[in-house]
Amino acid sequence: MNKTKLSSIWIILILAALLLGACTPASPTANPVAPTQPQDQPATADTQAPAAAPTQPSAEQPSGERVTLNLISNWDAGSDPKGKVLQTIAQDFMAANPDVEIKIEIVPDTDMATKVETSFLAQQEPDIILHNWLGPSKDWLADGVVVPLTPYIKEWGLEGKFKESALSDFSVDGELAALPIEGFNWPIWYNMDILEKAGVAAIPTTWDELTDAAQKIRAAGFQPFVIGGKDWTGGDWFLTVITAALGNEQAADLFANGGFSQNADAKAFVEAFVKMRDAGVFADNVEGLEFESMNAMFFEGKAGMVHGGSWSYAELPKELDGKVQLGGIPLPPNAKGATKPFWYSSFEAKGFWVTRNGSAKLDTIQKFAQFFFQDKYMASFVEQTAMVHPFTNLEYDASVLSPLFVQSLALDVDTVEHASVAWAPTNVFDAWYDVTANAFVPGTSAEDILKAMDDLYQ
Amino acid sequence: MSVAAKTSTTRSARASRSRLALRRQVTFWLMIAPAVLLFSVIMIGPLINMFRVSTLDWRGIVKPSTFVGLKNYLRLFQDVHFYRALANTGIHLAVTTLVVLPVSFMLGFFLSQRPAGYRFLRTVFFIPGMLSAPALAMIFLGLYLPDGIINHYLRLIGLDNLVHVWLADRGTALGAVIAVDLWGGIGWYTVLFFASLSNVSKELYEAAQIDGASYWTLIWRIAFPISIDFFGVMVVLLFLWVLMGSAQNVLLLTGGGPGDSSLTLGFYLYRQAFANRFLGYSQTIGVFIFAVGILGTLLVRRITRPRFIS
Repeated sequence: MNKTKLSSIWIILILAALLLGACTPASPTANPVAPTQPQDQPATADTQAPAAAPTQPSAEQPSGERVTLNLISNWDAGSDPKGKVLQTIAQDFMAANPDVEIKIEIVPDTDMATKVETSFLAQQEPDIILHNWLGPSKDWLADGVVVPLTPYIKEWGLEGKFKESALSDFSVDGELAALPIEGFNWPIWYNMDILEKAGVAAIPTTWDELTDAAQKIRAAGFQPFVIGGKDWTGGDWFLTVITAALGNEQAADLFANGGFSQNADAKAFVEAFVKMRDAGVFADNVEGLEFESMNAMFFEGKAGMVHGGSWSYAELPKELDGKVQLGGIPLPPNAKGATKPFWYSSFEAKGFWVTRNGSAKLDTIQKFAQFFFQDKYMASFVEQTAMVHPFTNLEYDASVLSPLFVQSLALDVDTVEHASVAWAPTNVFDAWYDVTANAFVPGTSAEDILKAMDDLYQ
Repeated sequence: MSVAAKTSTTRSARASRSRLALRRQVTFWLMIAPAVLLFSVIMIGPLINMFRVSTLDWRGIVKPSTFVGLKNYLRLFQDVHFYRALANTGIHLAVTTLVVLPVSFMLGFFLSQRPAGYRFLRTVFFIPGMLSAPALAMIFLGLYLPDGIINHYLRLIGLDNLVHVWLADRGTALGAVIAVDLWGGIGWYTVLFFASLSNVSKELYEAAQIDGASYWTLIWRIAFPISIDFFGVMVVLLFLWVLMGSAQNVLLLTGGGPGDSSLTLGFYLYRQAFANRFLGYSQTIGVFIFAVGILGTLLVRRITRPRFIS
C-alpha cells in the first residue's frame, strides 16, 4: 500500500471534517415551502428564496384542541425586568385560557436572526417573535418569515392604539410587519459630579465644547466620554452622528450606494471624528470596550459621560441618583442634519411579529395579542422597566417612573435617523459595525475609515 | 539446475509475490471500504458544497443566492481584514507551536520517567482537557478583567505600570487569547506525549546515561528522534486546531477586537457567516483555510517524517 497516498486521503478527509463541522452553513438549496401556499416565486437566482408568506390566515386549528403558542424573545425573566412582565402576561393569559399554552424561549438579540431563520428553513419557527426592526429582520416580511399584520390591527381591535410613527417604523411598502411594543431614546448621560470637579460649567453642545470638557475631565483624573468602541454602542453613536453631520438627503444617498471617499462632507466628518478621537475625548482603550464595560465604567463613577439608551434608565445605581443629567449628542462641525444637540429615538426596539407557522394559529394569536396589549400590562412595562411606549394613549403611574425616564421626556433635542438602519441595504447592516469598530482604533486614519466605508458597497 | 529453469522459478516466485500483494491490496481495501465509503458520503458532498457556496453571492440563509464565479476570491485578496486575520493566525500558529510542543514534550518525558506523584501530575495536566471552551473562557475572563486576578497581583507587588485592560488593549488582546491555548494545550499535549514516550524502552536511556548523556540529550537526542513520527502528528493536530478551532476563544474573549487586533482566520469566517451574513464569502475564507490546512499538513508531515527507517 502506498502509505503517502493513503495518508493524503485521510488528511484530506480529516481536514474536511474539521472544517465543515465548524463552518459550513446549510446548503442554499434547502428551500422550504410555506405550508399553506404553493411555492410560486420565480427562480431568477441560483437558489430560490423561500416562498412568500400567505397574506391571508390559513386554517385555524380544530376547536377544543389544546394549542401551544411558541414565543421567542430576548427578555429573560431571570435578568431582565421586561422578561418578568412578559412572564406575568403569559401566566395570566394561560390562567384565563386553559386550552392555550405559551412557551417562551429566550434567545439573545444578537442570535435572534440566525435562530429564527434556521428554524424557518426547517419549518419549525416559533409562532410569535418579540424582536427589533434592525438589519435582517427588516427583510423578514419580504422573505416570507413573517406575515403582514396590516389586516389584523382592525380585526383584533387594536386600531388607533399605536402612534402612527410607531406603525410607520415597523412598516415596509405600506405593509405592517410587526406591532410595535417598545421604543427608545438615546441621549448622553453626564455625571455632573465629575463635570463639576473638572470645572466644566455646562454640558457640551458642540464637538469643540465636548473636546474641551473631555480634556478637563481627564485632567481631573476621570475618564471622559465612555462608549463601546468595539460593539454596537460605539457603532450606533457613529452612525447617528454621521446623519446629523450629513443631513438626511446626503446620508440617504451615501448609505444606500456608498461613495463616502468622494463626498466632501463625509470626508470632513470622518476627519473631525479622527481629530476628536486622537484628542482623547473617548475613554482609554475605547476600541476594546463594549456595552457591559461601558456601563460599568460610568455606573462606577469613573467616567464623566456615556451614550446610554433609555433601556438602561432603570439600572442607574443609587449612588448616582440625582447626579446624572441627560443631554443630546453634541453637534459635529457644520452639521446639516441637526440644529441643536440631538439623539436617535424610534419605536424600533421591539415588535410583535407573527410568523408563517403562527399564521396557522391566528385565532389564538388574536386572543393573545388582545390580552398582551392591554393597557394594564403595557403600563407595567413603562412603570417597571422605564420603557418608551408606542401607544397613543396609555395611562400609567408617573410617580413610580425612573427619574432619568422622566428627565428624558422633557429633553429639548433634535431627533435624527440612524443612517445604517434607515438607508443601508440590510445585507451590510452588521458589517457596518466592523467599520466603526476599526474607526475607534487609535492610528486608523480618516482615509482608511472612508475606504472601509466604501468597501461595504462593492 | 539450468539457467532456463532458474529463470522460470524466479518468474514464478515473482508472479506469486505479485498475486499475494494484489490479494493483500484487495483485502485491505475491502476491510476499510465501509468506513471510507461512509466517511466519504458524509464528507464529500458538503465539501463540494463548500466550494460551490464560495462562488455565490448569498446574503442570508433565507435569501436567494446568485452565482458570481471567482468574485469572492478576488474580494478575499483585496480584503484588508483578511490580511490582518492571516497575520494574526500566523502569529498564533507560530507562538502556540513553538511553545506548546517543546514544553509538552519535555513535560511528557518527565512524566514518562514516572517520578514520585506522576499519576497526580498526569491528572493535573489533563484538567484543561476536561474543561469546556466557555468554562475556560470564564476562567481567563476572571484573570483578564480590569479588576481581575492579574491586575490585582500586579498592583499588589507594585507593578501598577503593567496593569492593563488585557482584552481591550490592542497590544495584549491577541496574546491574551493565545495564552488560553497555551494553558490548555500544554497540559493536553503533555499527556499525549507521556503516553507515547512511555513505550520507549528504559534501557535506551540507561545506556545513554552510562555514556554520560544529560537529560537534555536524553530528551532531544534520543526520545525526540524515536518519537518524531508521533511528534509530527501532534504538530499537525495543533496546527489544525489553531487554524480552524481557535475561533471559539476569540469569540468568547475578544470578538476579534479591539479593531482587528485579535481577528483570526477562523473567527473571520465565523463573523462573515453568522454576523455579517456574507455566506458565500465566508466559505471563500473556508476554502482558503482548507487549502492552507492541506499544504501545512503535508509540509509538517514531510519535515517530521522519520528518516532512520530504510
